[in-house]
Amino acid sequence: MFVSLLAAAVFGAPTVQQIDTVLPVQEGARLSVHALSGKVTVRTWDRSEIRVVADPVHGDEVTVRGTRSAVRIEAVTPFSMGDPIDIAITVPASVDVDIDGAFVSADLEGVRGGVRVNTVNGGVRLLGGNGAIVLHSVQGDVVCEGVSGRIQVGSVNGILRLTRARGEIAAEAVNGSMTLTGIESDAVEATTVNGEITYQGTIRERGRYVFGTHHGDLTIAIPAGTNADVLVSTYSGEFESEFPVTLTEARGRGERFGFTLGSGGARIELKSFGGTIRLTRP
Amino acid sequence: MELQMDFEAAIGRLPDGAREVFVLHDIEGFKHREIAEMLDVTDGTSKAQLHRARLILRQYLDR
Amino acid sequence: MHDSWRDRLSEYVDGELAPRERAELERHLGECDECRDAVDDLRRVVERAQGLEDREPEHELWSGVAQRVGITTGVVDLAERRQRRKVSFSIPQLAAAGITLMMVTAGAVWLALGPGTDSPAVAGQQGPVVDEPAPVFAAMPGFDAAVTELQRVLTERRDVLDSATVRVLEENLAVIDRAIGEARAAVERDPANPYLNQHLADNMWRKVRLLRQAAAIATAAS
Repeated sequence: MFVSLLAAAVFGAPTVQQIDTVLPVQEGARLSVHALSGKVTVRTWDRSEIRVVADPVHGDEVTVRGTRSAVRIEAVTPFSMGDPIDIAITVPASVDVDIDGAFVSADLEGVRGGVRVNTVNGGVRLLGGNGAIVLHSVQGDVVCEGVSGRIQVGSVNGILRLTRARGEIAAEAVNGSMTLTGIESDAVEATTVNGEITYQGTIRERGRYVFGTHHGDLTIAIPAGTNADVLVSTYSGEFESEFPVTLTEARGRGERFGFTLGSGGARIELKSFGGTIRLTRP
Repeated sequence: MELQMDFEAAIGRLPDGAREVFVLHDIEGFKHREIAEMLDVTDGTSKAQLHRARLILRQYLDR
Repeated sequence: MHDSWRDRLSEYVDGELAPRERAELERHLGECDECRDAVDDLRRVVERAQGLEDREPEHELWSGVAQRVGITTGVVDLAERRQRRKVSFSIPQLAAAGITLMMVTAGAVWLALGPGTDSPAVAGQQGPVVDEPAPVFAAMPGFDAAVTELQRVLTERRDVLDSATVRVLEENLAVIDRAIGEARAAVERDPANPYLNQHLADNMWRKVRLLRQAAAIATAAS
């Protein structure tokens, strides 16, 4: 059963409505935001409530509907390409957040539930987050730090930056570069077409780490004492290593070869069609 | 029902080498030097195959 | 004299003749109807080919997209692609091209094939190998959903995206296409290479995913 709350106050000119609404919610409530354009900012507090502040103009409307377990915010723009509506939301840390909108950019800090953001023209910034993390943009950059769980990030034209991320990671880009640092994971898959990939993180013995690019370079830092089986595949790219490597498997004109680091164990696949594959010390 | 194969279908039916070079050069815009490297042939072969493809395809232009 | 010029007409059309050769050929063209007709035809062939790769962002997004799904070195049935353009990219055919591409990325088998050509791996097979079920199809979860989504969006919405978004999507489709072209050429040189085959398949999958994303965006924008 939904309780519907529309714009709370009217200031000055009749076309301006401001929202400042507070809804009580329980632990682990789900928040979903659907907007067209504007910045969605999410911060956390200690209260068991969700607060929504927004200033829609020109007849656009922000509706907030909720129960104690699910709150939905919709910013509706009856006129196409309306002005951006910035929405500031404060939530208990346990919420699970879902934001989508073509021209929306998202900035979240402190959330400890899952976070999903889907945008076209905006960027995504996430600090914190735990659980199902899925962040996608077409034009914008995706930057997240201190996340954990099952992490899936992607941008078509923007860069991806993951810092201090823990859990399964899948990162995909077309034209952008990817920087993954401070990663703790057993399963990393990072692929791009035109961009370069930099990885600095754990290489665990039962882990699998796959890095692929078409045109870009791969720069992978290998921690001291790593035990891994490495497979390098390239077509016209080059391979460089900051430490000596003994080939265990070789094929073609240097296109595909394998070697073992330490006593083997982890599986690392490095694939670059035309770029340079580089192994460095951390 | 078509009495005459059209242009695009004809591309698909070109002999392998001619088709590859034609698509890479005239459709995708690669240069002969690049095509020669990709297909491991000489520049001369690439040019000859392209010409061959074009001569075949000219029969399928709309009249 | 005439025959030797005939072989060089493409080079002339592409501007690859040295100045003196060009002058001599142009003199010949002044006298030779046959060669002059051939030059005209060659130019038209090139124009037609370039029309297949039209990328102006002002064009309908889906026209560029549809053409890209079809661009090939001979795998997809090109008659189908032509038909698709004529009817303004009917969805089942667009999806069929997508399915076609996906069904045949199992390995190098399909790469040398065009309609009617022979491949040693499938000797005796007639027609495009696309009709043959491939194990990779079963291994691609979400593919059906992606195709359905494309179908639905393309029938409903077309002109709702702003030009900046269209441009980004088209540019990135071009990036992927370029990678596909290079990967494909590499596989044709080395058909048994598992990395190259997988790389090609990966990039084709990526293309479908980008199309899917574009479809989703168009839906949301409507």
